[in-house]
Amino acid sequence: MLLRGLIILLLSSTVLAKPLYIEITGGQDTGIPIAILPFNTKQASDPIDRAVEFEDIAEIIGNDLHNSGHFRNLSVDDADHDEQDLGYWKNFGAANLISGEVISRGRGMYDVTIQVMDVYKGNHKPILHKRFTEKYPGQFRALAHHISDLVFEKITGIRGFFSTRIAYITVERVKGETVHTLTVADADGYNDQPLLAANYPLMSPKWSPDGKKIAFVSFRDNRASTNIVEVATGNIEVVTKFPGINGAPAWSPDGTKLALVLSKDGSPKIYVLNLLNKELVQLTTGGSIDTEPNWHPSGTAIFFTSNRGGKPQIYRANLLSGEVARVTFQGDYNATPSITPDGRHLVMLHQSSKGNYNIAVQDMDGSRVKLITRSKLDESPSVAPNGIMVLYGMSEASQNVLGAVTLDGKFRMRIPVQDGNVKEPAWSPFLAE
Amino acid sequence: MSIKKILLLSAVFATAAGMIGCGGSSAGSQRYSENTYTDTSDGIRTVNSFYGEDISPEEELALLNQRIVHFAYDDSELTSEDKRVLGVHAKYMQDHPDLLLRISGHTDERGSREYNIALGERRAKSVERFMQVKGVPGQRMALVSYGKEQPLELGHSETSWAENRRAELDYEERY
Repeated sequence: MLLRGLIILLLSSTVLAKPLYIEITGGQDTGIPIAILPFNTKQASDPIDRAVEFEDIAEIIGNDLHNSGHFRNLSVDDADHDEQDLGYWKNFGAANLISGEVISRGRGMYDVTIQVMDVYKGNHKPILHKRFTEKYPGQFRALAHHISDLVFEKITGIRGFFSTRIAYITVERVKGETVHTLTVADADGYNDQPLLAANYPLMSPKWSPDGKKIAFVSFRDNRASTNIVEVATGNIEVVTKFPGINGAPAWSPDGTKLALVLSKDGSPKIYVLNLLNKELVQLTTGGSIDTEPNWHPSGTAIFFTSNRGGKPQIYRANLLSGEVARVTFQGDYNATPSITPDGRHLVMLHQSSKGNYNIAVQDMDGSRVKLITRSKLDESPSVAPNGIMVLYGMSEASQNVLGAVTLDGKFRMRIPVQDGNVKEPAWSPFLAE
Repeated sequence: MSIKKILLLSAVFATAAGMIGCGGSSAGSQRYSENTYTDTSDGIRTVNSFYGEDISPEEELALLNQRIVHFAYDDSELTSEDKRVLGVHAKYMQDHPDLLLRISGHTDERGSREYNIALGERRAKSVERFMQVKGVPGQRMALVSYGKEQPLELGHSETSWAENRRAELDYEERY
């Protein structure tokens, strides 16, 4: 019993010790104002339980909601306010009030309750009330993200992404050698776990639609290849290793096909590989550069970057009719297309009139292009599975860091990883619980 | 080309340490990252002339030590200086049928990573085509584009970008 208590303590303290450097860089005043009360903690008399330090669920929920850009977390330093006094909270400026409890059940387990009040609703009935039973402190962080998902969906009507994961590539110098690592982490940057480390470049990670695998590009043996790694086991399968470019893998929405780029017959062209029967079909032809295929969520079209018109622009290949049409016309450089899950927006890399490379959003039903980032060298946009945010890579003076921005460009933040450079973020789909 | 010149060149090759010859014996390593190329063989060698001008043995050696050619922004055209460098390497490949040449294409850090892979490959192919014209069979060359994944310079200025827009030559021994 004593031993188990100590282990939990050690595990949770290492998690707690890890700093997170999310820095809001724009749009701090946007979003629905919410107040989150510190959770009441009801401890058992068991001294072992009392020794256990656990994650602050209220703090994690507050960070989740605030960093989505859709909420503004008003800081509540005083726990004594009555959550039933809605007049007070109205004055405080909060639209919603979140409170909860952590109740010890003994044997190292806890029940967690959460309630959400709509301050303007007038009656004192919570709009959300839940109890999660028999949780270990090691599960608190995941539970907090799950609660954030529920709160987010209750208030905004949009499914939350707080229980999803991200993948990215880090580059570090270790003993004179450059180490490239494919890492997966929680959507907020915590629980980062290296999946694969190599002394050759790794590129272009993309999650499979079931969230179980990641396709990526490897330069093992000085040759490009497309590969698939299973997240749970780290097992790697080489998908293509033709002479020349093997790049830019992209999963079809049903997960049965991989669009990718091969230059085995000359110029880089888009191909579609059927993962079930290994049939390879060439989608585009000609002497231009065609790259960065990405599927429309319906699975009926593939968007890609091509310089067939002289400069890189985005084109759509209709998989039913075979027709290819240009979709971007503003500017001399549009690349790295992805379509939001609702099919309404094209998110891409766009060279601005200032010559900067920024993430831009173009409406699918029009041609309006809106820049949503503003540093000099942004790249690799990856859209959240609920379509409300975009993760991207940005280049700073001495390192590459990750940025996140809401689709409207109003709320931006910077997410550096502690060591070295981090690039090419890929947002996972919604994951099965 | 005078006899005197030819003898001078062979003397240069003969006196230097045999890097290519020794490198193959070092287990596991197929890559020669050192900057000098010399030859242990002391046979008489001929030097071709490039574009109507003679190249002195000293200059030939200097060009052979140059394993990087650079490119302008969004461009894969070889300059006449690059062609002088590559011409010497083409000759070296012809003289050493035991060698393979790996040509890697690179770009600066601007723009999309995968699009830069395509641009880097154009640079590598530009070098490959020139080498083929100069008589190096395609089977003895391997191409790879690293795009902007392996910059030489980490700065964000035109100076660094110009250094990074390049193709590199690496010799490997035939398996």
